[in-house]
Amino acid sequence: MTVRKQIHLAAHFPGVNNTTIWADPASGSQIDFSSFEHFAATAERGRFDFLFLAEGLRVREHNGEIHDLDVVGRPDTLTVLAAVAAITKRLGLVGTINTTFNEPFELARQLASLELVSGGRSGWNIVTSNDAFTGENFRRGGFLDNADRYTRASEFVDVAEALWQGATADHHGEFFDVVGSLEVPVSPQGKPIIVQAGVSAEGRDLAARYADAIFSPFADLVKGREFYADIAQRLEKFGRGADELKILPGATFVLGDTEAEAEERYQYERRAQVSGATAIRTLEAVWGRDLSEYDPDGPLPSVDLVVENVELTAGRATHHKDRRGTASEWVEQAEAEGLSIRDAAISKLARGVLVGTPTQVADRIDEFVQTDASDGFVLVPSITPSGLDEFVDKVIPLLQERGSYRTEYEGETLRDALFSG
Amino acid sequence: MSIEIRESQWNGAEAAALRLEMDTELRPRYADLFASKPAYPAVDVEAIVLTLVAFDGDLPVGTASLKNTDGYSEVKRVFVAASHRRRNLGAALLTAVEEHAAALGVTDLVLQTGLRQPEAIALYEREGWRPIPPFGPYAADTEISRCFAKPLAPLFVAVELPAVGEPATLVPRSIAALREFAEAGVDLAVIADDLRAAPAGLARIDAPTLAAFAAPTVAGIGLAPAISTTHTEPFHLSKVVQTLDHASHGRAAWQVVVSTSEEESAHFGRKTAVDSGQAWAEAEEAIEVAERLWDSWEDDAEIRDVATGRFIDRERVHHIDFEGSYFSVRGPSIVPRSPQGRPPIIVSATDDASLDVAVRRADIIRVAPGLVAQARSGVDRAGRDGAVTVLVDVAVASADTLTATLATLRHDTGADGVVLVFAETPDAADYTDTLAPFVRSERPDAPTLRDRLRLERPVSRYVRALEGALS
Repeated sequence: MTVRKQIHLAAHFPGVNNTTIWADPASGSQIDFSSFEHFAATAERGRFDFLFLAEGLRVREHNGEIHDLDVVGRPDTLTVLAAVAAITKRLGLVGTINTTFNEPFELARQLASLELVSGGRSGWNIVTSNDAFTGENFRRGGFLDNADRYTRASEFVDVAEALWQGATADHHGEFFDVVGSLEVPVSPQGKPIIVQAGVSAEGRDLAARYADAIFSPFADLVKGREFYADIAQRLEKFGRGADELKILPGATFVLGDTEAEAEERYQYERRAQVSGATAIRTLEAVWGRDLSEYDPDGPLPSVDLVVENVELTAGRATHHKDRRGTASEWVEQAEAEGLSIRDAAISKLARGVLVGTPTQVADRIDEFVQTDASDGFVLVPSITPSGLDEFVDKVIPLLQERGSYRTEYEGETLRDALFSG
Repeated sequence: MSIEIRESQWNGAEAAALRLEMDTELRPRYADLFASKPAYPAVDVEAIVLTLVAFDGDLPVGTASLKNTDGYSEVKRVFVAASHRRRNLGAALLTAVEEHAAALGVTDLVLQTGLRQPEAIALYEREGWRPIPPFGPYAADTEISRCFAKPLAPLFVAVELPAVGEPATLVPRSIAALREFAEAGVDLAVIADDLRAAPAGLARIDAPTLAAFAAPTVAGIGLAPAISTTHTEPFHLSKVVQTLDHASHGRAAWQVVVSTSEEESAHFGRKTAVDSGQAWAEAEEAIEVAERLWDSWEDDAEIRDVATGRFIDRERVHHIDFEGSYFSVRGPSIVPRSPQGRPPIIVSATDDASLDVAVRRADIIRVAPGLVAQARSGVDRAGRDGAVTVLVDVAVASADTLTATLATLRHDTGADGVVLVFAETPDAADYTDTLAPFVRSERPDAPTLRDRLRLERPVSRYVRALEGALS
């Protein structure tokens, strides 16, 4: 009997993007600790590798005003993870933390402490930023030259890793001078798991050099396989084996008892995720101007109205470089397919999604993994906090039946979960 | 038997007769001892604030009084006639005195009895009185006097855990201590932190991480991690404390500390060490930033209005636009307003610079036992309205001498309570019995720390006054 390649799953707590449906009656608090308790318990029951939390250090704004159409507000990442550590036993706890707005000694110490209280289940999703908008919340700002982001991040991780080994650092580099030791005990898994999400060449190299897992955007079989192969090559360059890094695309899922029911629910969710107001604002971000007079169910505005070099949206990752080009593309597609503003926004905001019956979704996930398009997924449900429940109840048993997914955790640490299976 | 306890007069005939009966019964027991000593001074009638007499029908059968002695509220001359003993009348008289005393605003009672009155000593111990060393006028008389104390109002009792220990047991011992102290009725646990090297062989942990780890499984105790403002971003620490408040359902506080050593500066490499004055000036700005961020979301900012598609009312989420000498912060917080609105601020006043910040900013001021009055007058001068709790730090190595310290703490120091400071994580179960008389006996279901401090939940400073006027 051949041993099947094992699937690794992470549970991404629904965040502040429009994919989180807050208007649904089932939608609960994104802040109350009970929501994290529920979500983490479900993930652990489903034997997920880890809980994943995103981070944003400034409330998003649009056209100079606080963005009010999506979920707003979230708790501090590491504080929530430390609390969740107390009510879980095996679930990994991975938080997104920005190197730009933190100091290596301080963050290394916080993560080492999370390591300690969780018994070796912590992880750090490294992100970097040059976002001056977010920098306004910090004394040292965020005015980092874009080219320096990854150099600084590398130096940051080098310092952190030295500190995690229990060493007394005496580091004097381009970006940091750090002398001292953490004094926090070394954890059972040695150091936190490193996750990385960048897809640029520098981001891929950073991942291949340091990361234990990549949170990838390629929830598509063809692009997924390309990315997987590319990372394998880069790993070789840094003297690491292909099995030393897990690639996990982000995806949401929609289940139904029949394929038709799943598809119907998917269409409902997409409309719930993109209200008329959200659609208008999505277009405003591209057009660079106020479009509030437009009817979301009517046709798109003319490309001639695009204002270049105006960034209406602040505090999120998506920025538009070639506005006119993007707008032309949108208008052409809308005309060809007869789409309204809202339809077009729904189409453009679509992300990786697994739609179907539990069997179809299990098949799809297994196909990704067995054909090296990924090692699993980072799954983000659209409902807080109960959205993961039906996946764990209906899909996980099917993955377990086919021998592609653990029925029990292999060990105690997150490293065990990622690499012992 | 129908006994009625009535207010009477010290010099009234019934009370005087009962005290004479008492003297007649007791004098022979002490005759040999007093032969060589001066008698106790006569009771100053002016100092008597209450005399009770118990009647069986018309017959006076017991008495007890309350006297102000050197700032102590002392229970005097508790006596039950021989004919009416073994009927719990002594206990009833004590209870009645306690109720009257509480109504007069007395928070702690003391009393003195003698070594040859075992029946009296047994009564006091049964009724929850704790032995203390001879106090006030009896201080010199350790031979005969047996003194007891009973608190009528609970002290605010905090502990400070060092968060230092053997690497393998640091976390489990700390959590066990927090749980035991919570069960013992302790109001607040400060979790110390220090970025400097630990003593040889010992390890440390980030205080907010330990506090957050405790929050879901250790109920009923406030959690106050120490967080330094010298090298940490105020935006970060504000959201950490706010999140701890959410995770603990309103039990978070922040012990503000500063870092003045070169050793700590070297971890960050951003600036050389600063002196206490500069560090506390910066800390005061950090407190201002944190409190503005905690207020930056009004309580009802999240509206989830399906009709308009708006999740929040953005008029109720505010930039804080802080511009100070040390940093500027735009805001708002990324965290919605927390259960307490603003978690309490704790400052230890250990020098002039920290005292200045404490009296202007702290909800809880920690001082050495001799400095309570100075802290209170500072608070008055700062023109603060609202309650400020002043606690004295007491270093504790064992439970042995603690009863005496706590029994007269309010009298001796004027403080509202105490922070028991432990250099090593203690076996907290050792302290349960000692602390029992001094902590709250009622345990409301889910009190916030502000509730325990009798602090109102503050309205956000950004709520427009107009709205209040219209509603």
